[in-house]
Amino acid sequence: MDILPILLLISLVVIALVIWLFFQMSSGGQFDDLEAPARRILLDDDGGRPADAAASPQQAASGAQKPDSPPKG
Amino acid sequence: MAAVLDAGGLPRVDTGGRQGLEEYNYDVIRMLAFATVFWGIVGMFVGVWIAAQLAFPTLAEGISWLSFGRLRPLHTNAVIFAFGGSALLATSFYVVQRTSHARLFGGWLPNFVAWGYQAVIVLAAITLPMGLTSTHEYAELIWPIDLLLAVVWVAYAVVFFGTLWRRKIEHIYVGNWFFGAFILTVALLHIVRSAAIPVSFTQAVPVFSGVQDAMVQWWYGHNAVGFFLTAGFLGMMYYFIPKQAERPVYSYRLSIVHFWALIFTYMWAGPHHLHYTALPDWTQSLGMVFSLILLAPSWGGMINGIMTMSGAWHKLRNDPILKFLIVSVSFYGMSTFEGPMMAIKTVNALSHYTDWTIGHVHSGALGWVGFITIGSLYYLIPRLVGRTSMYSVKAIELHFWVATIGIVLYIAAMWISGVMQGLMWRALNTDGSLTYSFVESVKASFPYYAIRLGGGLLYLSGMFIMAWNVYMTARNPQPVNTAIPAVAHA
Repeated sequence: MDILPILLLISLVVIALVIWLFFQMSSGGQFDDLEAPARRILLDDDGGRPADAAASPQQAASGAQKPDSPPKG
Repeated sequence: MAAVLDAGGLPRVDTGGRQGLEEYNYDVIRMLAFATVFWGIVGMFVGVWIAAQLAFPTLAEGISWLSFGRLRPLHTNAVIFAFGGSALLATSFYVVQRTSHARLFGGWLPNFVAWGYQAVIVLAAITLPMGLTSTHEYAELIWPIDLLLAVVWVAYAVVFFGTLWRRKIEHIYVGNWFFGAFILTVALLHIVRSAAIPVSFTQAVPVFSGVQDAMVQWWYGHNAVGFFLTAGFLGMMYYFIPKQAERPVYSYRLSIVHFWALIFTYMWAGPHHLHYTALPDWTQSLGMVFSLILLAPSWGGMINGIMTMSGAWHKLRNDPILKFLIVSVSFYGMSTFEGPMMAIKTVNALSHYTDWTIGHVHSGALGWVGFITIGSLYYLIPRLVGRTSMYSVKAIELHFWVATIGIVLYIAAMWISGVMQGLMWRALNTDGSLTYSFVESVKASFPYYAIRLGGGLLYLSGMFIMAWNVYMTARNPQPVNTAIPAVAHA
């Protein structure tokens, strides 16, 4: 089973990289704020239509446009 | 920002004088989104065809390229890599741009990725029915196509991480972590699994053989499940469920924790595909233990996805897109519970080589992967063609119920036939001889194969409803606001 040391080595190297990356990102402040990022994507209006063309004859059941979304910033 | 229609009537958006890099790249996403629907129909149609052959084996008598052996790899490649892969490319390009406030990196490179990937799929659709195969499950493509795929995939990584690198939002949104892990790991898996020495244009000798090859195969195979079919689609889940529900992720902290736990644990679970084989016993046990541990991070994601609905459950009543997304996560929870159970050696002794495995896979594929993709596309496609919603919301509702009934028929039939097969194969007479011959178990499976065919047909018809709805939504595209919003704070 020569393959097992090879696969174990690959996996261990990957795990080491993962752990290294996690601590890099953690000390870089990526995980300091775990509240705002979850909300920020909701503030991004990706309705897909120009603001003045938003009035649509179609049903808006998918909630594509949300007029009460607060402006960014 | 004001929208204008230019003199030629072509939809254009005035970005206030800021052009070029200030706009998101939607063109490549649009193509990939349509490709996803198309390949979904192709892949599921082939699936229905081979399911029909299992119930009625003489259907393609004498025509080799219509036979089960040739088309089964085409089915798996088409649904996993063509349907699922195109969906992952489309959604990852959308999510990374919108959450980074940056245009896709690399100029023409995103187009190369998208079209190169479609070329790989077309080549697969030609070579597999011809019987040109490397014989490795889920990695059947012959070496020249493997090479093309490797180049395309590296380009994909460059585009994705290049976009992240020039993001204008300091924080990397959690969905991007999942997409990133999926892209990097699949590159590694593909290169190791496809390592071979070419002896002709269509044939190559694999580097590994025997049980070594089997170990590489399931190290690859299970990590493909873990990183392609799980991590990638979790990236989708973490963007499209909050957006559609208009609720932030239930616990953003949990999403980060379960991401790192998931990618740590998945790497080691592969040997559970090789219980009671020539693989060393300790390796099998290691695979089993890690498979059981995997339940925790998997359910972390499931709970997080479903609980994102808390306070908004009423939206499920009227919003069929949310139905798709939430039922998808429910199937994710079910199949990630079933998986670790089946990885227990004593359970595996019953389930292995039976239709239970097929049921398990399709609960994940039709339920989790299929539904999260379909739900995300219903969110995405109107936004790519300048609409606020799909042409017909009723058709989405119909699609949801047709597909759900299809899945239930499919997996229930496979559970019953799987357990029945396992029990029949192990049944012994008092003198120690086998109670049933193999063909008796095949005969007993027939009704379930017929029900499975019906379930598959229902799921496929749902895709046709979707294709019609997508066509009606996209046939008259309106101007799309692709301007990248200014960032008020980093």
